[in-house]
Amino acid sequence: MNNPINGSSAGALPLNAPEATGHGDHEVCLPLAEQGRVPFITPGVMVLMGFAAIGLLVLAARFIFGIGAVTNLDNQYPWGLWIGIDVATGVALAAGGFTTAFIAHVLHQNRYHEIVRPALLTAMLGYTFVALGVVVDLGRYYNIWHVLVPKYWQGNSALFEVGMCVCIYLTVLYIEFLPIVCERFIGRINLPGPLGALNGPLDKILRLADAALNKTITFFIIMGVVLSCAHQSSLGTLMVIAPTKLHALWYTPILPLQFLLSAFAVGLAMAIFESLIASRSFKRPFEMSVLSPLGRMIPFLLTIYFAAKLIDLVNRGVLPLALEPTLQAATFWIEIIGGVLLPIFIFLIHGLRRRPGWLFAAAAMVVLGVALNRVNVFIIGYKPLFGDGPYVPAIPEVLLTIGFISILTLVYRAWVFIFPILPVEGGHDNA
Amino acid sequence: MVSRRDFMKISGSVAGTAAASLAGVQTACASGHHLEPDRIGVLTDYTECIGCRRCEWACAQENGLPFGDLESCDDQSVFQEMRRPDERQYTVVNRYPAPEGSDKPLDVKVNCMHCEHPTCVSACIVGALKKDPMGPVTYDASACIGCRYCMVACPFQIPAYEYHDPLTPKVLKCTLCTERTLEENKMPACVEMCPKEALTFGRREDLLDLARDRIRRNPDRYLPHIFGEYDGGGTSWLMIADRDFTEVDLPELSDRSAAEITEGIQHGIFRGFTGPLMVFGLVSILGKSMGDQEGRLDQEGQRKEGDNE
Amino acid sequence: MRSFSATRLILLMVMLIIFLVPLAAFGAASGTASDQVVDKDHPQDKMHQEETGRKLQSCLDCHKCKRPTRKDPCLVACPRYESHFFSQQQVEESPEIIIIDQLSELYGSVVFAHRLHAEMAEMAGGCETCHHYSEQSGVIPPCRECHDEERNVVDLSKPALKGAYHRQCMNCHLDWSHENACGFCHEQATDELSAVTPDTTDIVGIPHPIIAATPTYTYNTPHEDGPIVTFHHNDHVDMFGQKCVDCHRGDSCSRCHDADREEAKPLNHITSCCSCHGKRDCTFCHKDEAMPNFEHGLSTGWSLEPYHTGKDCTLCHGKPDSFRKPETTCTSCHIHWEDGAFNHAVTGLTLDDDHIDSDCVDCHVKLEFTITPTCDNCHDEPMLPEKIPGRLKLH
Repeated sequence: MNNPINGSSAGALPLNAPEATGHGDHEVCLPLAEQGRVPFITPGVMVLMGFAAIGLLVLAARFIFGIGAVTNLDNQYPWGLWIGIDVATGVALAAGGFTTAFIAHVLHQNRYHEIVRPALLTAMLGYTFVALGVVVDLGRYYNIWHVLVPKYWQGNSALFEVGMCVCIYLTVLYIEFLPIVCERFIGRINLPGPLGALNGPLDKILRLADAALNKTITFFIIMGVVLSCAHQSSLGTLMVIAPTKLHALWYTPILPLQFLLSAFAVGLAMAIFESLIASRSFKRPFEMSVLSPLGRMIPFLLTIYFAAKLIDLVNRGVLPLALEPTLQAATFWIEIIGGVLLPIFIFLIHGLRRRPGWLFAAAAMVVLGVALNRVNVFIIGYKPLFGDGPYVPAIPEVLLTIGFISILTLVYRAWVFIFPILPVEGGHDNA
Repeated sequence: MVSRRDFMKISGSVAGTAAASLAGVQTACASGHHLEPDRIGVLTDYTECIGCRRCEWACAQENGLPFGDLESCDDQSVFQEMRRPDERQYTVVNRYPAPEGSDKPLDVKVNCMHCEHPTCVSACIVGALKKDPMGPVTYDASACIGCRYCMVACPFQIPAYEYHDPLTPKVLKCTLCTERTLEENKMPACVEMCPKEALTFGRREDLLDLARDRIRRNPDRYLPHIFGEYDGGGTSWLMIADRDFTEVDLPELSDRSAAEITEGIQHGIFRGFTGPLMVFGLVSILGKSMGDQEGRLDQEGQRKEGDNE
Repeated sequence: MRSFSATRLILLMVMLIIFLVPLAAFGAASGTASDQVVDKDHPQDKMHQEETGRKLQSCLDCHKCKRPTRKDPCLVACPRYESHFFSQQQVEESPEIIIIDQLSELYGSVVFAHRLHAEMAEMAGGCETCHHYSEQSGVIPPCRECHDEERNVVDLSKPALKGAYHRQCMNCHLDWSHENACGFCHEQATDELSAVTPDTTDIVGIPHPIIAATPTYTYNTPHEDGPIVTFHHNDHVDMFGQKCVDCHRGDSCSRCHDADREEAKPLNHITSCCSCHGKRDCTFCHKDEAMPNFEHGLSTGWSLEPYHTGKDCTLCHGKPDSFRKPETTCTSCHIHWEDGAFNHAVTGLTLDDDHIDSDCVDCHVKLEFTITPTCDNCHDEPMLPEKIPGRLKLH
């Protein structure tokens, strides 16, 4: 089992791979199932499956009995955990897809290619679950297609912009992922029984798509970057419409800019974060030679973000609010110190950046910090004018979110096993 | 004589003014709502309201909402807490205790204000909420996808939601009795019911005149502020009172609707897709130039990281 | 300087004009916009001052529009805020009672004790406390003369009749009684609304709005022998047919209209109760426990069921002051029955043709109607109860 390339189909792949990936990857990626070493089912996976099952039960309850039956949402708090975490935080944390693609494919920093695929997968799955999360939260989910029909378009709505961009970006992500599907299945489609007749045509379609994408993939990658910038910022615009409700520590007309800047930083941090987790989970060496220089970029992005925040806070004269003994002030400081300032220092120190533990801690802090920022903007900092007490998510609400994250993780694991996402081990051995 | 530099200055400032005014025109067009000069509204004189709650009853009758019989309005115990309109009651009357040095409590009717530039309409992703040029903010349940962004956006926290309906939940709020007011030429049910004419229905412009007139004639009775004339960009529902409106839980709003800010951002970035196209162009050029230097940069990068390691 | 060509100069001028014209227009507009009296020596102004005796603040006090003309003076109809009241009417000349019923829809009419209110207003400021308009002659028109029944959505200068009434009443009533329940003034609407014209003079002898009385009062008196007195107000009105004035004539206003009252003060029972009951045995009213409503069967042992319910007490007992206790035999009252004029059907038994002409005593031995009738006087074998002399109609 030490052989990284599994016996049966090893012959076809290395020949296929470089050609199919199309944009000059140095690394050779293989499905984890073919790389061997780790079993799909582990105790951790079993636990995740349990959470996933509970989540699906809550999901069923939501569709049978309505949103009111499983959430603590009311007329004062129309948006809760599902929008704050599943959607807003989900979009932010899926930013790794476009940031790494930008660095690797637009800036042609070729050494980062090996984290592009995992980040792309995270983005694709992340956005898929963002879309699912939206569907669950929508009262009339069956009308969601209205967003795509010109008759209903409402260009003044920031949410419309977010919805449109997410729809198109999701499509772009699937297109970006197509080369990986091609790489995996061209010449290897083998449907059983009567479906076998489709093998030939499907293979032809894949080859056609591969050829088309070979020339156009750059366009889609740039599209992805543009769309991401657009909706990452528009997600911030959403709350600009509620000046009387959003706490002054977060309410600012430049909220979209802050959302975009933090998305840049968290995209890279998320790439580091998940690479380290995946390496640990799949018992692979940490890819420090890639992650460490990636980490070097984060403090600059975070500093710009922090500057945009600080200047804005001083400019609006609301910093004294951060000294009041409120929950909002507390979460504000956690977000700023834990999520921005501390990681800046850790990333800046060369010695720490090279050590997986510290790198992981710093990346995790940025990820949690930006996640907390989204939660602050959408939940904790949201102070309705009336109503009794703060919104606390109901247990089923939490269970559904945990269930969704579990399913997301499981699908990620399955995809890594099925598709050539992770590079074949060998070159690096820093662990 | 005007020197060349001065000329450039002047023409520059003139051009700037022209551009600014042009931009202003465009913004007005872009916000896309045209309002009739004859649009309707309601003036609430809080000092006239006696808290009889007959408007609540009339509203329930008109909209087919559950409510006790007429006499149940006499139940004053509801004033013990501050109520909010919800999906079963589009309007409620709250009683605010008399301020110090007065024995007059103030009864305050709460309902959708039908803003002139409504944030809920601006927020609505599918245009289910619309601002009728004649005043009312209308809702089309068949278009709604149930995202509840309107509820987040509303500065008065009015729209209510049928959270317990699993299939066809609706966003519910005062309709300004659109059918009665715009089609049947009647006044809204609550206004018609109001025994004291604390509610007056008419053209918004006339109501503003009426309110100004009352304030001018009774400076001791009213504070010189018509809530909704400008607040939040203006509202169809106007209020006058004997105390500051913040004392009766109306929010302090700027004279511009918050929708103007988001629409400004939206249209600023997305007008003719210039923003996205610029980013697209920038990224493309960057990608191309970096691609040209790829080899060199790559080598440099390798060397640098080598130094670091 | 050479490059400063003529075309550029023209361009500059055009731009300046474009820029300046709106500015000038704006300035001109703001200069003239004013709703204050412009001409202090305005002849109309002088006339108005003499008429009203007040210094006018603004044209808008009387004119609806900012620029009234002779053709269209756009006058405010009944100026609420300026003195237009010349009446010297005395309270005694005013109507005693006004029944406001022209708007009845959800609520019944209001019996408005006008003179009573006028008397109260006399203490405050006379008719002008409520009435804000009279004709030069001093005639005070009723509210409905100016205030329309239909609400006007175009001319908002004056409230409609409903609003005018309620504003007039409720402002004081809220201050005074803190009462905003509609039933305080309105009668409940019924199907035959117009048929109800309550006799408001019945209540205290002078017009008074209808009062909803408590059905039963239970008094805990300091009387040692039987401290509990139960007074069934509804029995006295519904059963004994007493009118309000029978007991309440000349009643003191403050007995009810006392702002500080915590509970109703009882009437002086020596005058009110004893006028009917006489000064008999105290224990007639004073008991050790509360008494149930009057029930003839229980109290006297002689049930009114089924023939005597709903009859006026005085038919048997005479007037209250000459109360008598009648015999309980039927013939002690129904003396004319022996004339054969009795319609037996009222007992529920319609006699058949064979028995219709029989004498009462043929069946009712010794005219004792309380014991079972007999057939033995005519028939050999007993017929009752198998055979009955007619058709039974059960009650």
